[in-house]
Amino acid sequence: MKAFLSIKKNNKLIIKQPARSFVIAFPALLARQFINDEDITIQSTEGTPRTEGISSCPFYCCSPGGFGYDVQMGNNGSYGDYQPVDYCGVVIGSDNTAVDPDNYSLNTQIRSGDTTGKILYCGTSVHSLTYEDVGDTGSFKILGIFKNISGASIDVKEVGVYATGNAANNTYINFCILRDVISTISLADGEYLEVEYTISIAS
Amino acid sequence: MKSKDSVIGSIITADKLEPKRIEYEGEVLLEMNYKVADKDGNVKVDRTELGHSFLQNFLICLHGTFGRILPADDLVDTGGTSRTAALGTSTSAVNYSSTLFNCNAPSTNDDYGILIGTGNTAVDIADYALDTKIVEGSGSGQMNYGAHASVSPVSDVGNTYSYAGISRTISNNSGSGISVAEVGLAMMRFWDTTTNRYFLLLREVLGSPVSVGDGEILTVTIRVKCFC
Repeated sequence: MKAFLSIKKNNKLIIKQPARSFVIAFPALLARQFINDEDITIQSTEGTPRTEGISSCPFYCCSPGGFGYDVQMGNNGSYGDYQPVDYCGVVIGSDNTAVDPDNYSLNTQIRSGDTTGKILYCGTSVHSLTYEDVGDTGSFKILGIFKNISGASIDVKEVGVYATGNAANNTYINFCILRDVISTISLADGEYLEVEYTISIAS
Repeated sequence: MKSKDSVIGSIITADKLEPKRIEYEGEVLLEMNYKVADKDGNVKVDRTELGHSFLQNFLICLHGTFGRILPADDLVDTGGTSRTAALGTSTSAVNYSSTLFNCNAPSTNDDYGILIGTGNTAVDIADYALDTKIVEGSGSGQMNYGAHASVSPVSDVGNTYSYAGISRTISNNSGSGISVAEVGLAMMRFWDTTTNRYFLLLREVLGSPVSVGDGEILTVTIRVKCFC
């Protein structure tokens, strides 16, 4: 299994490279699912070791985007336990420190907003599965869209994917499963960025 | 499938300004370890191989959990029957409030978890069962499946990989040697009914078969290993 990273700026492809960096939360969450072993400790994006049961949909990474909170993350649509829209899905940051397999978050995440140093998260979507006979390959895409409306230029140097698991007490815990350092992209006020990961398997 | 030796020591640094470069960079592989010990615990075989054979069933489930959506495609159970995902009660279909990739089969259960076989047909991502599964028992050609254990998350000091996984012991009490040529990992899941269904997620054909003598114990360890 591998991932491929492509990034468009204002709908023009500017980066196309193999994604290098599934980090430790990915195999840890899978192992937790395989054996339902709550002794496995996994660090959340806050750097907190989590040992409670993370049973529901551990790799969920869709987000509606916007300024506020993702109410759809609530328990069965309730409004009781939502989270900021930039806690889940494709995320971007401003630090290009090399990836370490122990990374539990971006080094410096750029948060969603319209003020200095922020960027508007316009949502993350997961696209359909596709198959190719050549190479017997299956894949799907995860797309995150961002717009700079901060009034000033912002440099993007790292990207990744935060996945959300639902703990037994109906709270949401976020884990960084992918992090990649990229060539610096300078995004001027008013410009768009599309970050797309393609996850594939081949026999 | 390549041996572990081809990975170790493969870090190359062009110069101080270049980022690290490792073989398999960016890949998620299956590090398979096969250990055979006699009844006194003496290890006779300890072999590690790198595989990559995530199957279509795995991809469909992974896609579903990334998007919390009904899988667009049917899973095929280990009996070869397509099973359609459908919303339903807490005991059916794609209810992600329970563990999706449940592979923690108990002792003597050969329906799911780590499974072994004697077939060596090349892996296809559409595989839904082992070629020729070794069934639970102590009769001729049979083995006794033990419990599972988790492999806790680990990363290396060279900052090149992380892994976690699952292992299982399987004993040969059949009275004669058995040659193990394939390994799989299957999950148990309610999918379109309230009946347990079993779905193969991974399948590997060994580089060469592992021989397990009568009275010996095979431990299979599957590490999901991420290189970065």
